[in-house]
Amino acid sequence: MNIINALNPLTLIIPILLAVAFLTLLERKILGYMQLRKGPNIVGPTGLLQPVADGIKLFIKEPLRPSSSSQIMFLMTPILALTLSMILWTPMPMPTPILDMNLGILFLLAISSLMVYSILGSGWSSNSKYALIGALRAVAQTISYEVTLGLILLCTILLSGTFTPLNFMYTQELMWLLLPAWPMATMWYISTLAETNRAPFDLTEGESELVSGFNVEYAGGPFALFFLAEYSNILLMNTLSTILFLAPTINQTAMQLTTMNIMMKAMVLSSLFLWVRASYPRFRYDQLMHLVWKNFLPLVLATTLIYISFPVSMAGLPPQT
Amino acid sequence: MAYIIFLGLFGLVFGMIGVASNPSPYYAAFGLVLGAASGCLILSGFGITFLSLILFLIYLGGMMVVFAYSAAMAAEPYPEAWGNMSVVFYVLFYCVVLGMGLGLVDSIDVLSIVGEFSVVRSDWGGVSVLYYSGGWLLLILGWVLLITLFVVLEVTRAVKYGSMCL
Repeated sequence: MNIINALNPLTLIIPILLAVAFLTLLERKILGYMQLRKGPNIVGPTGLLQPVADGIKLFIKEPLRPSSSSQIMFLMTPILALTLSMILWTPMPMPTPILDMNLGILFLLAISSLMVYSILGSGWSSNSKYALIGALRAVAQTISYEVTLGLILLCTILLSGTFTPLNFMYTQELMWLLLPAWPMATMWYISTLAETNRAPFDLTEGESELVSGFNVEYAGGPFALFFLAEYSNILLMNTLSTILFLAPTINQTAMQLTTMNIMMKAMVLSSLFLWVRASYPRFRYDQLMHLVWKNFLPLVLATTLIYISFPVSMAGLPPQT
Repeated sequence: MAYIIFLGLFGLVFGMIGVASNPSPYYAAFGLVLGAASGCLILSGFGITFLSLILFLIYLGGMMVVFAYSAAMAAEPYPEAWGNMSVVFYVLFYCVVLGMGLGLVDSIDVLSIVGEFSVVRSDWGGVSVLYYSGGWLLLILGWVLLITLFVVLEVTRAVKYGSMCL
């Protein structure tokens, strides 16, 4: 029994890591075809084994430890990043969460707000100006967009009535929240792009400005951990968007169909991330900040008030327990 | 669960010692993070999960990030961690103070009788008892916070005409 309990998290972690590996392949393939080239196609059939080769290469490389860096922190922060991004998946209803808690959405927010510590710590402990400035930019961007993300989540929570992620599926049995909350949904999607440091908001790792940002000094294994954490966060954010705005009705007789439904929608949203990366040029940093503080935030604050008052005035309050 | 709360209390005390022992701001920020996280652990151990998560979100995810952010920008040629002599001295000093405090508090009964018939468990209701029997303290603390507000306003106002003249 104890062994089965210990295996329980592994049944979550291994599929996520596999999905992350193939997401990197998908990204390179889609970018390749959008630029009229093939992408990786040598290793394995149509390049299917490329992520494996990449992973092996990264993990057998020598991990660099700059002598002027703060060694313990330098090695702890990548571990922190990956651990947090794995913990983030636990309350995710797909449709049965591995940690079933009432305050799941709040837990998600709290843990994802810890991700900035790994970025800040890695940038600072590298003891390099590029890494530090990259980390500062990344942290400023992430915490700015977290404000909007939190408020948008609050709007959807006001419509569904609880902090339980599973409850969003019952809320959306009749209609996707995408329709009544479409301004929220669009802002949410753009904010998740910024929150996961994706193009066109990827100026934390912009090659031309900051030579890959907070992780310049990392190589080999620790870099791979950051990489895995980043891509797992992308998948997580898209799964969360699916559950918040496009949740399927739970099929009680065949749960796996619900899982497939969620994951297919998450896959489409992730592919949209890749399409966005292929199509849009990078934002300037002040424009990025302008977008969140002067456009998104006032709009979201106003709409939060609307979403508080509308259900009350229309006598359409969600069940409160 | 009692052991988890015990762990949280340990983390809280050590975090506070870590801040108070006067290391460089980067490491003091770490002490604060440790203290805040273990405080939330204690709260959730007591079953106050909502408050615990909200505090975690606001305090660790919002305020402490900004503090760590500004501390990371502060350059210091010889940062002092908890291994340096001056910091070790403070750590030992605070440990002694805490030990003496433990000796004082250890024998106090958990229940305290307030007024004629009301009994308050001072571990839970300690804060309210503090303000009940020491209401003037509350007033003074409020006054201190007000002064802090004016100090902060004055410090940020200096951007206009201080040394950081823009």
